[in-house]
Amino acid sequence: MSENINENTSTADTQSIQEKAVLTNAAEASVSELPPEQATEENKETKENDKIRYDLPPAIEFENVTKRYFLYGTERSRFKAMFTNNKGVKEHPALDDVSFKIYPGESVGFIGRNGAGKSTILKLITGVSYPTKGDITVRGKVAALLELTAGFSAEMTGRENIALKGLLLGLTEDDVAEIEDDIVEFADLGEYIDQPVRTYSSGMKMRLGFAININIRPDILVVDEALSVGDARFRKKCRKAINNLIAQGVTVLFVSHSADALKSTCNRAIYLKNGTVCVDGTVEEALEKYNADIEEIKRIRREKKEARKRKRQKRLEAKRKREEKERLEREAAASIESEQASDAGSNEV
Amino acid sequence: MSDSTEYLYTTKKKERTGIGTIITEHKGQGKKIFRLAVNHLRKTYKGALLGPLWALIKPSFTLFILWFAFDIGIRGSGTVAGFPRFYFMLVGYVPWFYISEAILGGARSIRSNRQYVTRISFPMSNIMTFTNVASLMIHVLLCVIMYVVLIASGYCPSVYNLQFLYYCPMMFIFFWILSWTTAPMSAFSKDFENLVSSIMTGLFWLSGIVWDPYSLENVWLRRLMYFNPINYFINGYRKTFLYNELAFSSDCLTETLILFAEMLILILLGSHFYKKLHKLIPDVL
Repeated sequence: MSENINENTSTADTQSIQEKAVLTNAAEASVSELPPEQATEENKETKENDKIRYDLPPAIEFENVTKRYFLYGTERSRFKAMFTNNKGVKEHPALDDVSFKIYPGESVGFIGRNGAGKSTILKLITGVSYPTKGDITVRGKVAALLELTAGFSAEMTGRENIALKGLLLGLTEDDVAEIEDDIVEFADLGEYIDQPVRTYSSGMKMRLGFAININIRPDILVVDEALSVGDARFRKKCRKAINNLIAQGVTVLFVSHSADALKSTCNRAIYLKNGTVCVDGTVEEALEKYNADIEEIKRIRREKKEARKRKRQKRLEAKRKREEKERLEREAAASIESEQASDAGSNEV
Repeated sequence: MSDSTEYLYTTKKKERTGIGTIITEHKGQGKKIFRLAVNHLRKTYKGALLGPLWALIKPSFTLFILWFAFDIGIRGSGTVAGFPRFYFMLVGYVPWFYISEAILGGARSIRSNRQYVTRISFPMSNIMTFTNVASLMIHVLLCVIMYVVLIASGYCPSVYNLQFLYYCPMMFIFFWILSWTTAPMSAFSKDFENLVSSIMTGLFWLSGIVWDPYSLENVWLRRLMYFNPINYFINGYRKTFLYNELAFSSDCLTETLILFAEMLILILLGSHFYKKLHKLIPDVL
C-alpha cells in the first residue's frame, strides 16, 4: 500500500523513497538512538533533580496493583463465563502486588524481559485496561506514544482526524483549534492533510499520530522504544520534540532495553520481573540486576542445552550399542539357523 | 502543568452500578458522540460517491419495489386494517429498518469498534450510543421521505403526526437500553452475536410489519402480541401517520405498561451485564 501512495506523491515524499532503505534499517532503533545527541544537554538537565516536584501529589500512583488475565480454553467456556462470574477459568498473573509512586518531573525507565508486565503497566496507566485488585491514580494528561494510529478514522481527512482524536483524548474543541496548526506543521504532510487518512502510507499515519500526541501538551509522556516514525529526518524531529518535553519538566515513562538510552533519559528505573517490582532505584542498580538475571538465564539455558546434548549423545550411544547387540544376536541366530538347516539337510540326505 | 488537576484518572472511586457508570460516562460527551456518529456513517459507506446517502437510497429502493409490487403489480393485494397494503407496509417498514439496524448494529457495536476499546481509553458505553445515534439519523431522514409520500397520497398531515415526537424517542431509548446488554455480551462471545443475528428474520415475521397483529381473531394470541415491543412501536407509527389515533387511548394502556416494564427489566439487565463485563472486555477482545 505504501508503495502505491509513494508513486502518487508529488514532491515532498519522493525523497522518502530514497530514504526508505535507511528507514527500514534504522526503524527498530529509533529512540535508542537518543544518546549521542542527548548526552550533552540532556544529561545535565534530567540528572538534576530540581525539576522533580516531590511536594506535589504523585503523578502516577500504583497501590498494590494486581492484574490477572483470564484465559479461556474454548469458546464454550467463554460463553459460560458470562453467567458464572469466571469461576474455574484459568488465570494468568501479569502483575502481582505492584506499588510505586512517580512524582511530577521524574523520568522513569521500565526494564524487564518480555512478559514481565511492562505493557500491562502502560495499559493500566493509559486507562485501557483495569486492575484486578489495587488502585491506580494518574494525575495529568497522558500522551502515549504507543498506539499512534489508534482512533483514526480512515474515511476522514487528516484535519478532521485531528479534531476527532483530540476529542477522544479528552480535549475540548477550543483546545483542539488552538493546537491544530502546530500539529499540521509538525506532521508536515503537505496537501495530504486534507485527504482521507485511508490514502496515507503507514509512515504518514504514524507521523500524524505522533504530531497529535506530542502537541496535546501532556503532563505525562509514555514512550515505547519499539516506536518507529517515518524517515530519518522526521525521527530526528521526534527526538527533539521528546527531549523538549522532558526539558520542560514533563513526567516521562520510558520502556526500553537499551542501556544507553535509559541512562541518558531516566533518573530512575523500575525493573520488573515476573510481574513484580524487582528493583526500584537508579538506572545503574536496575540495569545491574537486570543484566545479572539475564546472564543467569543465559547460563541456565546453556546448561540445559548442554545437558540435553549429553543426553542425546548418551541416547545415541545406547542406540548404537543396542543395534550392535541386535546385529550380533541376529548373526548368532542366523548362524544357528543355518546350522540347523545344514543339520536338517544332512538328515534328509 | 498548572491545570493538571483537571485530568485525574483514578480507580479509587466508589464502585458504581452499571447504570451509574453509563450515566457518568455520558456526561458532557454530546459533541463527541455526535461527531463519532457522523463518522460511523461515513465509515459504513466508505469510498462511495454518494456516501451516507446510500443508507437512505437502499431502504427507499426497497420501498419503491414494495410499491411497485403491491400497488401496481398485484392490484388485488387488498387492504389491511382498512388501508391499501402498500401504505400499511410503508409505515411498518420505515421503523423496522431502524429497529433491525439498532438491534444488529447495537449488538455488533463494541466488536466492530474494537480499536476504541483495546487501544485507547474510551468510555465503552459511548460506543453503543453513537452507533444508535447514527441509525437514528438515517431513520429521521427516512421518516421525512415517508412523510412526503404520505402527504402526496393524502393520508397526512394531521395533528396526530405530532405523536412521532413520543414514539421516535421512545423507540430510540428502548433499543439503546437493549444494546447495553447485547453489545457487551456479543463482544465477549461471538456466539451471542450470531444468536442475535439469527433471530432477526424471526422477529420480522413475528412483528406486524406486513400483517396486522391487532386484528388477530384469537384474543389470547392478540394479547400475547403485546409483549413484543416492536409491535408497540410499529403500531404507534401507524397510529401517528395512518390511523390518526391517540397514542394513549384506553385500550392500549396494558400495552404501554408492558413496554415500560420491559424497559425496566432491560435497564436492570443492561446495568448488570455492563458492570460485569466492561472491565473485562478490553482484555478479551
